[in-house]
Parts: sequence; C-alpha cells; structure tokens
Amino acid sequence: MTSAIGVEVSCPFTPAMLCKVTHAGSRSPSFTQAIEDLELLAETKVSRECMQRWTKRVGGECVERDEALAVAYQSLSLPERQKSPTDQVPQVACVMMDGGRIQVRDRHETTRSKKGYWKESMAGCCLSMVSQEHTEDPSPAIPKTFVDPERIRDLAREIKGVSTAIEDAEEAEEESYDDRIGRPEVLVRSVVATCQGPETVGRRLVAEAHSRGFHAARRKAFVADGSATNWGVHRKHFSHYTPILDFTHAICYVYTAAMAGCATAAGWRDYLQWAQWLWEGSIDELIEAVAARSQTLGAPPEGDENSPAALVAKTLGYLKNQRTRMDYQKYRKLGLPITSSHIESTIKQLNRRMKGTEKFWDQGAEPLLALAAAYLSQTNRLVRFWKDRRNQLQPVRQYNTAA
Amino acid sequence: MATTNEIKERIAAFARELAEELGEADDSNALCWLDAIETQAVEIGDAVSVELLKQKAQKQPVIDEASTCPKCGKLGRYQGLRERKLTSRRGPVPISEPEYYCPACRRDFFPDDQRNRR
Repeated sequence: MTSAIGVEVSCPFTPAMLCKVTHAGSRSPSFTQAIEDLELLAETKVSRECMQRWTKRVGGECVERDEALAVAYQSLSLPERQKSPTDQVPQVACVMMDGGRIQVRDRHETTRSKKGYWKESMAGCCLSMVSQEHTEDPSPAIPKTFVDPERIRDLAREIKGVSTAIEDAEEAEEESYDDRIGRPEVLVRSVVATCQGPETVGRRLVAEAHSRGFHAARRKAFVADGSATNWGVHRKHFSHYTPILDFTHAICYVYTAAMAGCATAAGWRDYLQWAQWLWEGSIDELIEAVAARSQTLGAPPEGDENSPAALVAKTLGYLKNQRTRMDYQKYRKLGLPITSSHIESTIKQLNRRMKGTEKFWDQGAEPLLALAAAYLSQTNRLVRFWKDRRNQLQPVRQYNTAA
Repeated sequence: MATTNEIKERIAAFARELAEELGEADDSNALCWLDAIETQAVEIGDAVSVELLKQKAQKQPVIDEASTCPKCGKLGRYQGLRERKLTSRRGPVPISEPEYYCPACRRDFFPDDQRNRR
C-alpha cells in the first residue's frame, strides 16, 4: 500500500503534511523556528527530531535528483547538449553564479578548529529574460546612482570593505539603477546550490541550464564577479555564453583606485571620468589612467594591503585580468544584463536559512541547500519532485547504516 | 471537487443542527465572541475531517496469505495488519496495512495492491 499511502513505511506524516514539514524546515531560519511556525500556522505539533530528520531526508532526495540530472547531461553527446529538450527557448538566457559562506563542523570533533568553520558554499541561477536589441547604446550615460557620492561609498564599503570620506563632492539626485533603459526583464528563475565545491556547482548548473533550453538561445550571458572560481566554471561549461563581469564589483574597484592617494575633490573628479569610461567599455583609457596613478604612487609598501599604492595596483591588476569581460556598451546593445544582482539576492535568500554565527552544519548542509534552492526556483521543480517521489517509494523499511 | 452541491446541502443541514445543539459559544478564554465561534467551528471541522479520513482509510484491506517480495521476488508470508498513526493536516489518523515477511531477505514488506486503494 506504500504508493497508495504516498509516503514510505517509516514516515509519520501524510504526503500533504510531509510537504508542509519540509517547507517549514527549509524555509524558516531554523528548525526551532520551523516547529513554531508550523504550530501557529498549520496548528500541528511536530517534534524537532522528526522535523529535522524528514527535512534532511527529502533534501537528500533533492540532491540525488540534481546529481542524476547532472549525470544525464554529461552522458549526452556534444550536439545533443546544444539542443533544447523543451519547446521553449528563452529570448535571453542568463546564468549567474557566486559564492556564499556557511559554517561546517564535524559533530565528532572534540577540539575547536583554529581556522574556524567557515566554508564556501556556491550557488548559481538560471534566468530566462526578455529584452530588445539596439543598434545604439540605449543608456549611454552612467546612471546617477553610480555617481552619487554617498551611494557609491556605501556600495564600495559593502562589496570591498573600503571606506572613504567624501564631504566636498556634489550631491547627486536619487535615481534607481533599475530604471535603466534597455535593462532585460527576468521571466523565470531557477536556482542550484551546493557546498561541494565549484566542480559540483558547475556540473549541476550546466545541467539545469540545458534542461531549460538555455544552450539553444541565441543571446546567452554568464555574469559573475571577478572570482577565478566563477570563470573556471564559465570556461569549462559555459564557454559559448558571453562572459560579463558584474559591473557593480568593477565600479567599486574603480572608485577605490580613484579615491586612493589624492585629495577627495580631485579623486572624485577622476572617479567621474573613470566610471564613465567603465560604463562605455573604454577599458584601454581606463587602464591607462589607473596605470598612470599607480606610477605616481610608486611601488606598494610590503605588507600594507591598504596603502593607496597597494589599492591602486590591485585595481590595475583586476582591470587587466577582467578586460575582456567589461565591454558594457556592447552588452547593453545586445540587451544583456550587466550586473549579478539576481545571484547576490539569491545568496542572501539562501543565507537566511543557512548562514549564522550560531549555525553549524554537518551532513545536513547539502540537503538543506538543495531544498532551499528548489524552493527559490520558479520552475515547478518541487511539484514534479513530489509527484515523482510517490512512484519511487520502496515498500520496505529503510535502515540507516550504523556509524 | 468532492463537495458537490448535494454534499454542501447536507453539510449545511448538519451545521444548522449542530449550531442549535451547541448553543452560545464560551468566549471566556477567547479574544472575542467571533474568535470563540471560529475556534469551535474549526475544532468541529477538524474532527469531521479526521473521522472521514479514518473511515475511508480503515476499510478492511484485501489480504492474501502470501505476497511477492519486492526485493527478491520470492513469496513472503502474511504477518498481520500493521497499524500506523500518521499526522495529517487535521490531526492524527490511524492507517492499517497488510504486512508480510520475506524469509529469504529476512525483512518485512508492505506490497502495493491495487485492490487496497480505497
């Protein structure tokens, strides 16, 4: 009767209740909170042990499903990989990826690790988008939000941890960056997340992109910050996607270099020019100007990473390394995205469940990440998962192997 | 939808009967009068749901003396009805299902039998 009941022999919930338990366990910030939420909203009491065990178990099955999809993709021939398995091919296919951080601790460990427990988790999202192509740049002037002294200072502080005082700079009018003309509109997002490293996230992300017909799209973009890990995944799995460096990260580097080692007013004047060059994709001029500043400041003093000379030298290296991914004018003409804001916000949503100074994960991290990613996806992944699950139940008890 | 017009009418008649029988709701522990009658109505709704679930799920299943083990394909013998208490959206519901034992695998199994879909 297992398939008629719809849950395995050892499950203490009806199928509908199991969905609610899993939802609460993976969407609430903690299992304790999940139990409270379930009691208040669904008027059902569930023990912490049950909540934890079943959320992780269902999450583990999501991991298996993601892995199976990745293995199936790897077994395809190259021409098959380029074809869309669905009728729908997005107008613009965009893949974004980034890293997050969670604390992972071996529960059997007796002494505290000196290095701490923070490990990198990785997430990627596949975004189908619509946008128009243009013969001319639809937005040639840099949005005011990037030339607002307070806004750019806050942005640089948030992204690069750099603080610079600007008292004399002119005040800019408030304008939302989201209002930029020609900005592509997101239709459907799906998310992949893992704490098993870049190799795993790359395999799962490319399989997810393929399953949604992304490879067959005419306009394709891969957007990420400057991390070498991201671009390693791009080289291996998405080399036919237009590589785009997240504009927000790039402009923060430019701002830091412009304000380093000179008076605030002069630095701000330079920044306005450099920011416009970056926006236009005039990277040669920008690199030349930053190189001149670097020469004026001389070699960075050893051991001081925050000296003006070191900050400018770092920016110069960054711009040289990323120069092929910063043709922003061309990307705007093609109607492609130029910031990785969607994956940044996805990471924040995942962090809500996964990250916290008081949260330590062991084997539960991977299943919970997979579940959280599935809930953030708008592709009915979980609806299909619950339907398929019923048919895969074993009519026998599953025994856990003793540790 | 299971709630056809006919069933809705019967529910309405049953609710009218209950409302008369129950009289005024006790609002001494409630936020207000409306909260008291809402709590009372939800409790009754839950009890009806659980009862309906129980009656549908507890129908005597069809039992064979032996059934094929899903692992090894050999015949397993009938052990009896296994009682499970599942937490549903509306409260605990007891379910019973035929349990078999496979001597070759040395484990119990619960075969899918189309005849037992109630």
